[in-house]
Amino acid sequence: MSFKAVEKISKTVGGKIEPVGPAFLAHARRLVRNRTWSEQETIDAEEKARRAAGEVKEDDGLVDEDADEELLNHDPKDWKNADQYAALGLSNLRWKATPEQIVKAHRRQVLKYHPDKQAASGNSNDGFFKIIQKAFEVVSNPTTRRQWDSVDKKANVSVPKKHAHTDFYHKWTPVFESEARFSVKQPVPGLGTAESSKPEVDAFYSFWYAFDSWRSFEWLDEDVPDDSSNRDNKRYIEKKNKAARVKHKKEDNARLRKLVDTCLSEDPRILAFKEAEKKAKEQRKWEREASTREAAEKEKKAKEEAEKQALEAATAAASAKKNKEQAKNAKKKNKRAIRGTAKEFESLPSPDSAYAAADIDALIESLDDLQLGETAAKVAGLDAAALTALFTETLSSKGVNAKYFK
Amino acid sequence: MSTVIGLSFGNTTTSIAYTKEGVIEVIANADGDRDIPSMLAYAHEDEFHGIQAKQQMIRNAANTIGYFRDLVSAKFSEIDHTKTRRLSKPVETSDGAVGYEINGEIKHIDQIIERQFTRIHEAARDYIGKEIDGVVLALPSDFPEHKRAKLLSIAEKSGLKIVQVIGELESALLAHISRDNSRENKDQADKLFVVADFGGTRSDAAVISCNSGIFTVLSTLSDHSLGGRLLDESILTHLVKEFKELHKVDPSSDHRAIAKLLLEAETIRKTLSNSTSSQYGIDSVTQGLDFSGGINRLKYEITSRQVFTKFNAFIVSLLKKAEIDPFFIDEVLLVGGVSWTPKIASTVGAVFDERTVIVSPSTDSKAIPPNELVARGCAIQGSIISNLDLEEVDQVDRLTSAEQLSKTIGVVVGDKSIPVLGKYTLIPTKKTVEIEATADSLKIAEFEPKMEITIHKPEPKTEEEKKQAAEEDSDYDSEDDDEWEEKNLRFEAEKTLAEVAIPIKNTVKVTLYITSNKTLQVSVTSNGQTVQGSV
Repeated sequence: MSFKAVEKISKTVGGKIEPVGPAFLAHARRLVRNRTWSEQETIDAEEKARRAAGEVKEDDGLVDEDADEELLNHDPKDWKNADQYAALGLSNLRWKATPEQIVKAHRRQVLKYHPDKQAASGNSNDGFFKIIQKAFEVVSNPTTRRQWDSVDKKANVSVPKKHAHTDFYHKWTPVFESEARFSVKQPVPGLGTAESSKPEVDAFYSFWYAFDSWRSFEWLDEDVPDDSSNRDNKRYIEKKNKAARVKHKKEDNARLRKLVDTCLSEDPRILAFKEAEKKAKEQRKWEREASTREAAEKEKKAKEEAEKQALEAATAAASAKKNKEQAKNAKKKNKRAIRGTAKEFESLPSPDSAYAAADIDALIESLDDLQLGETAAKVAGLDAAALTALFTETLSSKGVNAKYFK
Repeated sequence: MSTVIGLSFGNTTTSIAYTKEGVIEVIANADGDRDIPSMLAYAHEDEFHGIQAKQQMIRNAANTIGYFRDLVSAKFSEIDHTKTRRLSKPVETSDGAVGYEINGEIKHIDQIIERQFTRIHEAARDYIGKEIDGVVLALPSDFPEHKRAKLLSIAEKSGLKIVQVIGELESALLAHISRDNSRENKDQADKLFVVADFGGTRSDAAVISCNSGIFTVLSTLSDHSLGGRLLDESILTHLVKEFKELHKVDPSSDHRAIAKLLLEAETIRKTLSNSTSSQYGIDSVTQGLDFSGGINRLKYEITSRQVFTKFNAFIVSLLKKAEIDPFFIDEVLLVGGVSWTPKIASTVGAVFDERTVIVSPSTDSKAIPPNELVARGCAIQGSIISNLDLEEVDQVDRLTSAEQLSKTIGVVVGDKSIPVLGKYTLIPTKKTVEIEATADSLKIAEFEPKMEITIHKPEPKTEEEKKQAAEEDSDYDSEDDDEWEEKNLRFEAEKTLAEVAIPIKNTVKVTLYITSNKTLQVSVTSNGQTVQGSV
């Protein structure tokens, strides 16, 4: 026996492999972890051994439970009214039990309640075993299992009382989780939390209002008699069953709708959304009306301005009128005052004194009421020279051809 | 463990697959279709998808969109309009991409693909009943990087997280070898494959070497015009001709008539894959004229002969490109809906030698439906990576460069040469074989596969080794009925690596282990005695 090395292997080539398949993943894993082939082999073997050991003890989610006295003594002929899940020892899992769990649970129950075993312990009643077998038949067939689930009252979560002092989400979430099992469409949107957004909440309610349920009520059917002698009776019962199913289904749909209605009416999020929407609406309205409001304000201001101006004008007019009136009243007095100044010129040689008097008269004629007042005020206390200057100026400004004051 | 689905999104059809408790299921959408036509149609406010959209082709062709996958992030000026000529015509969008005018509104190609992903997402979620965590998507090998990135971002927008993109052909091969592995107790023999995906409007093929379950693509070829559509068109031509003869009316100008006949042609093609004759009946093809009749498989094969020749030529050119003699191909895997057609299998089979196994429904009753292969492969890959997180997948996805053997290494015992580690085997590697033999020694050697031709004559002739000779002989062969040719694959030892002297009785167990520093460790066990050594 000998080993003789002859030649080295030919040069390897660098290639590109495809990142596909379990073999590649194993290779990649080895590379990533930086292990040699033999290290990986040891690790894989260990893992395999561990998994094999683990599988034995794997948690199957089943709880050891003893059937209660009532169920043990249940009449096997009346198996339909027994709790099918309890018979299999699955009363904690119920509709959540997987097919594997059902098989396991059934095997366990059979071992425990087999008539041979029971007889050994002095119990000759094999009624419960019959119920177990029936229950397994029902639960392992998806169709009959759904029929049973539809009427499984113990899996239902009752609707919370309206004024129960618990958190809204805390009390409603289990209700919807339980109802969700009847949905044809999975996954079912959950109730969510207080932080859920409006689209999420809307999606939740629209889903539940359009709920597509597989729930059916064949389980509650009255047994159709098997005898062929009385076909009319058979048909009558069949018809009655059908009607009852429809009725139950209708009631169930109505129940669910009412349930969702109740939830909706209590939902604090909906209230909050409504409130927010109302506020947003007002805000929008306010914004929309901003321009018209501005225009109205402007108009109002303009109007006020105009009114004020009109008032001012009126006051001005009134005061002018008053002045005029006053002047009119003082006309005679003024005239007299001005005419009185002629005395100053009486001492002048004729015809100047007459001319002066005539000029003053002409001046009085040419002045209106107000000017009369002004002139009268000026002439008071003036001497002849000053008067001459005043009259000359006034007359020339009036364009009167004066004979003396020129 | 997350829910990762496999998605094959083709130009013509889309399939979704999911691995549930080790069983791969191809998911049916709401219409019950597993082969979902990649089509969208719009009528007023409604959107149709899948088979419903395909039906719209007759009445509402202007608003029916199909064959759009390859158009993602393509320039309008560069696209091929022949595939969409019976559907909504693509128009140019403002950014130069492809769009469609639907109800007076331009829909961008990205929008269309997003809708497609959304519908697929809904179908998968409704079927599985769980939220989809990730998707393994298959794309052709020549799919450009920018298009791939665009597709990924669109998928992300529609809520589908694509965790890995793999090649369509590799995916199909994965589905195929996984079937073999589960059936034949994990015998992963090294094989050289030709994987050919004949789709609706395009064909892709590759030569892939599979060593211990790891794939090395040696050569690829794509043809963007060859596909099942050509077969449908040839049946359509036949139907139009028949119709003209029967009613003296030409339906070619009537768009609806052609659409009806085309859909019927597709049905006929599918029927003829399973049975030898097909009946058809269409109400009111054109001008209220009904049309019914039958076509048998032979007639179909004759009418479509030219198309079948193209499939043959496609495979021939692949092998030419790969510079591989068809004789060395171990298996041919036919993928895609068209591969149901028996004539495809026989036409492609004609390229290869008798020893090559053709995998298609007509040649192998246990073959996986070829239209499901890609999606199934993706689902398998999805279940493999469902335990990894995204970073790991990304990291793993890049470890594609590797050191491989350049020669086949095997054992020579007596007059037997047994290959153990094939060419392209990744190193490091380890493999153990058990060989039945009785001898005093054995050799470990590097092999070169040879084609051994034996010409059986009334009086046997000497062996000839070159293929050239075989071809020359073939003419001579056919003249003489008594003479036949047998080709055998033989491994010839080229270079001896090690010699082991050990008395062997009945069986010997040989373990070859090549370490990452390229040394070969050999362990030979026989009759409870072990010899070890390294080179």
